[in-house]
Amino acid sequence: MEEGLRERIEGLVGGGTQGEEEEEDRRRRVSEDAVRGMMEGKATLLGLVEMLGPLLTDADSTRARTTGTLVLVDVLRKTRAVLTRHEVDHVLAFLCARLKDWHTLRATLLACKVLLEGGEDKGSKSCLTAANVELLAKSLFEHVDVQSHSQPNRQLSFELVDLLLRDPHLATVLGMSARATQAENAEEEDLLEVLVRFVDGEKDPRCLLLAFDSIERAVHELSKSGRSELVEVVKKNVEGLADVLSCYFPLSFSPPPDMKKSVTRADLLLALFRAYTSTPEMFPQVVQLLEDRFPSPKSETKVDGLQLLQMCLEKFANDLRADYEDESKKAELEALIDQVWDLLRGQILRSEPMLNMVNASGAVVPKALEALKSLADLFSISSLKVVDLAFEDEDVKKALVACSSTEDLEAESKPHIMMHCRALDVLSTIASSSVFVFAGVVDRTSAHTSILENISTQPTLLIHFVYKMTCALEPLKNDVFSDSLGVFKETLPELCSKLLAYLAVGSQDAEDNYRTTSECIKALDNVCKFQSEWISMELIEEVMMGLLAFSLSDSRLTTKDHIIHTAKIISSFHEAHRRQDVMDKVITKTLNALVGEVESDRALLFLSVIAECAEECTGECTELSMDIVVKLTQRAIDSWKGEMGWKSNRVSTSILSMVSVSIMPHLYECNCKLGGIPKPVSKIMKNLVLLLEKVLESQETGNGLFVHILHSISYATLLCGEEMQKGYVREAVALLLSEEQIVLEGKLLRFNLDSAVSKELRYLLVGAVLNPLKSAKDVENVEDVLHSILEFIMTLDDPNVARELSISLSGIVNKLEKNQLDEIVLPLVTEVLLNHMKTCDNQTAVEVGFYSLAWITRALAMKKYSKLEMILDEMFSILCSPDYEWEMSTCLDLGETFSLVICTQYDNLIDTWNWKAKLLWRQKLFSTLSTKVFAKFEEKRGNPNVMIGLHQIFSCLMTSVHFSVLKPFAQDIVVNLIHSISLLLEQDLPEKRAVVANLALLKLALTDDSMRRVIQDHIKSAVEGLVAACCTPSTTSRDILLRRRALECLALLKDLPHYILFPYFHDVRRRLQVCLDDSKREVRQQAGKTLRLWTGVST
Amino acid sequence: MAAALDNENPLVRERETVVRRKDEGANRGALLGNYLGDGAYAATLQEEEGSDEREPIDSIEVFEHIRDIADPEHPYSLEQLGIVSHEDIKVDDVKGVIDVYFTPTVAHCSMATLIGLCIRAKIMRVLPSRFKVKVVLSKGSHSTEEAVNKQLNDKERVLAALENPNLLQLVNKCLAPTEAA
Repeated sequence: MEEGLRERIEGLVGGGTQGEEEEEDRRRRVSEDAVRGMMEGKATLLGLVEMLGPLLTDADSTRARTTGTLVLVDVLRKTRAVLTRHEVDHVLAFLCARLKDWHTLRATLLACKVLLEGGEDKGSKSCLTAANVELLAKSLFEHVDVQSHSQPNRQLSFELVDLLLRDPHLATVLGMSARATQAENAEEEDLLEVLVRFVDGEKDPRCLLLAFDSIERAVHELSKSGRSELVEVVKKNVEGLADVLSCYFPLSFSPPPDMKKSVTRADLLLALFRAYTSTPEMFPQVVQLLEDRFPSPKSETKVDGLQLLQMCLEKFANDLRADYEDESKKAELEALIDQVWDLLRGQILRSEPMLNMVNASGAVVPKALEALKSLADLFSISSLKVVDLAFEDEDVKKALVACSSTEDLEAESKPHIMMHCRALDVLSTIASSSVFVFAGVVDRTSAHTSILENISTQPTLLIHFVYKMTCALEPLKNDVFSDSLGVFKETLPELCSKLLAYLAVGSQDAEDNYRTTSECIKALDNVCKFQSEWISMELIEEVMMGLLAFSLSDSRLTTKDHIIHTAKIISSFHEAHRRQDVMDKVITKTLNALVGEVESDRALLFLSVIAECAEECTGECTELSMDIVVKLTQRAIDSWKGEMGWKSNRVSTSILSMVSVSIMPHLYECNCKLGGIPKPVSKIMKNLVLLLEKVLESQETGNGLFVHILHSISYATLLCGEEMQKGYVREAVALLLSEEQIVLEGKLLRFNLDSAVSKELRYLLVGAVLNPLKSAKDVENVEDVLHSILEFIMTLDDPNVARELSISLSGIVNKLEKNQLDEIVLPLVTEVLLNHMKTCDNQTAVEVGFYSLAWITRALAMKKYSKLEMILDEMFSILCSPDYEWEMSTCLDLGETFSLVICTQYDNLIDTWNWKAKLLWRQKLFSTLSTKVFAKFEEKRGNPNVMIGLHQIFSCLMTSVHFSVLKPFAQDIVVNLIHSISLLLEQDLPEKRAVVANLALLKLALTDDSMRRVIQDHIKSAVEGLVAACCTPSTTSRDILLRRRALECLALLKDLPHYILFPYFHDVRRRLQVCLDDSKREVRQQAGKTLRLWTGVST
Repeated sequence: MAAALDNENPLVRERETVVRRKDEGANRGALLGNYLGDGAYAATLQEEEGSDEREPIDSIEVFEHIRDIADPEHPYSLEQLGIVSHEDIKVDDVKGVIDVYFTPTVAHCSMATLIGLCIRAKIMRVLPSRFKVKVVLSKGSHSTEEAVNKQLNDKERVLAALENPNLLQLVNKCLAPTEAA
């Protein structure tokens, strides 16, 4: 065995030309053999070393020495556990001597590392003796000049240092440092000196991370050793360490490309900061460093510096406090604190008139205030040192003078007011450190200015201050010493009334108003959250009513955000105190405010936020929301004027829109999440039915109110419990099938059966109640129900009612089983609906029928119904049939109706149908439909009216799927898209939704290479269409969007080759000049941008 | 060595948010419309309010165009240096008149003409040609006020200046931040 091994070892580097892989393979085999031998007791480590001798001592070949050492590393790694002390001593002595060998350093360091960290079996610890560790440390520190080596070697060296500092025999290493301090060993380096030497000049982040850790550990171990000579080492080296660390601040770092383990800037920064905060001795050095670095214009440097300062203040708090108590050190520390104060105030308050833009960036001041808080925390119990500093500050004094000034501060420039606010922030930040300091700040502030008296003359500053002070008090309110704030407590009632008085009046400046009003509301919110001994319930009630009055008032101060904020405050008050009487008062007052247009919008917004906030809780709160809905619907009935016109019924419409679009869906979601059955659904339903009856009587089905009532009924059905829902369904079906007995006995859907509109009402109610059902299984006689509704639709001439019933029909179909589709729906469509459309002469009836057909088809498409294509073909044949002789406007309508099959517009309708989630069906349907539409384009070129309808379908098709789906059809799509724009624009349509959608798609297409190439081939039509679109006159708000989109598309055309665009250059520029004077600002702005880009075409 | 600056330490202001006062109707739309998101109510309001009523070109719009023009010397915009402000712009959309008053940071500023030229070039590029544009120094803000004003409001000299490739390059460099969006 020994002979074989010896031969192999000799052959290790004998080949001369062998590749690295081959050499490694041989080495591996040799080490495996050696390990096996050693484990079986046939060989020893020293024997192996002897065999490796020629390699290890080959003075001529670096490679031989390296290979030899690497074999040793492999063997050591695997046999670590079986080595004897004698063997370890010998090998380590050899390795320590070998550390001098520059060429084989990497292998030697690896071997040392293996010995120090243990073998392959994890958890095994180094069994080096103290003498071994000392020898290794000494050799490493003496022989290895880290910075003259490559990165891997440096990293290994730092890893070795790290292991040494974690070794159980660390005391030995530290002992070396102790010796170094003695006079006779003056030339010896101590540990920190070695580290400084190792780190100095290091640039690699991986090495730095290790180095910073080592420094922190070394300093920490030396300081806590308790030996005065070692503590002395730290003191001696603080400056040197600070010097070397200061090179890395500010830290600019980008990861090197070959870095496997990712080191982030944050990791490195944290390690650096930990090194800095390893001993309190560093604190003066840190302050010195920051004084040097803060003049930098970079805000990142400042933020990092402030972070470091904050870490120091927090970590050294106990030491600094102890020093402050010590009379001998107090003076020195005070000077240092003054320096820190100057540093911080320099960042928060800049007394120089120039406000440098970079300095003013957002992150610095909050960070500086955080650091200031840490500084204030230092002395929070014992001294008012920081308070003294603050009140002696010139800027703080100026701010306090400004607070008590009777002149109008608006005359001062905004930066000045901002500075005063920051000065006040300093005071409130300091105040937040303890009750003791808070009382001190309050006391001294009141010596300068009377907040309560001046709050109305200087609201911007004082409300800001009050708000910040209430925030500062928040963490202190439960403090055991909070009684000492008695004076402050007594002022609360007056403070609240002053703040409420401000809300009632406000100031003139719009921007200031917004901020100050927000702060005023937040301050009141904070005050109301104080403990009950501080503030009485009567006062809180008064504040709530004041806030309510502010929300509902016609003040210029009241913005949307403020209304939402106050509503949330009142909601949380209800949650905390459960005062039903107060909430009743709030709701009644709000409902009374529902009079004018603006007022009712405010009141509705307010109520809706309260209702939505209440949903977060269960039980009573949900009842509160339901109560709000009941009262709102009642109010809608009361304010219904019965006259024609949307404007005259604005309040009712606003209420219902808020209920159906915002409150009810939230309640439904809440109900799904939390369960629970809110009680007064039947009251809501009763109100809704009554309102629907009134609306139908006045034939006002064209406005949003009609739709909102139906949606609300659908949601109300969803909100009630299962039993009640069944009751509604039963009654609805009975209504439809005219089962008079059940109708008469019914208690839920009550209305006047003899009224003129009872028939429409009956069907609409059925539609709304059955529509959102989760399963149609509960509906008995579903065939009869469907037949009945469809037949009724076919008799209708009111398209709005027909639309709503068609949607309901689609909802019911959507919930059917697959076999029911074949048995019920298909005959219904082919035998009833299509037959009716083919046989009747009345075009309006065909249109209404087409509408129902489109909705049913949509439901079938989603259910992946196998015979869908047949129905689609029938729809196309109705649209394209020459028998009907459609007019152009009808074609447009039919085209739009057709697109209901796939359009996304109704996806939000009621998501219990879960249409949004079903993306695949839409993509599949898209390819079916687009193939059919393209075929029809070819077929019907001669018939312009039909072409219009087809283009309408095409436009809606495009917007119904994700852009990526369109790519395979790029050629057809882009050509037809460009034609669509021109064709639809020529027709002077009243509604240009399709064109706007087409332009949006063209804009997307222009960003895609394959599509752009096709556009390039049809550039003439594209430019003409787009230029025509840019100059479309406005009739609706959509036309503004149309012009802007067209201009955006024109701007994107500039990416096409110059020779393609140049022929159109003059024409486009001439037409764009007109757009520069467009009536709408946003269009003018886009025209300016587009024109600039097109100007570039000429060069 | 780089030439000394006219004003080495100019006063720098923060970028202001200029708010155009909206009419009550627009506020109403914003109040509920935004809150409801895609809701039908917002759509109703929009339909109702979509009209071709002209939004006149006003001082804020002109200010928006010129506020970000870069100063030829400093890395700040004209607004940050307080050279232009929306209060110093007078616009009459009906009569087609725009008067822009600008204030150099120091009275002996040698860049005043170039700054004026940049303002004029920007306005010529983005506003309709029906406007008669006057770009002048604020009263008493410059030692050679009259000469600069005369130069800036001589159409032919302005056009000639903008045909000079070197000058045009300078102007385009100053206008670049305004065209970045």
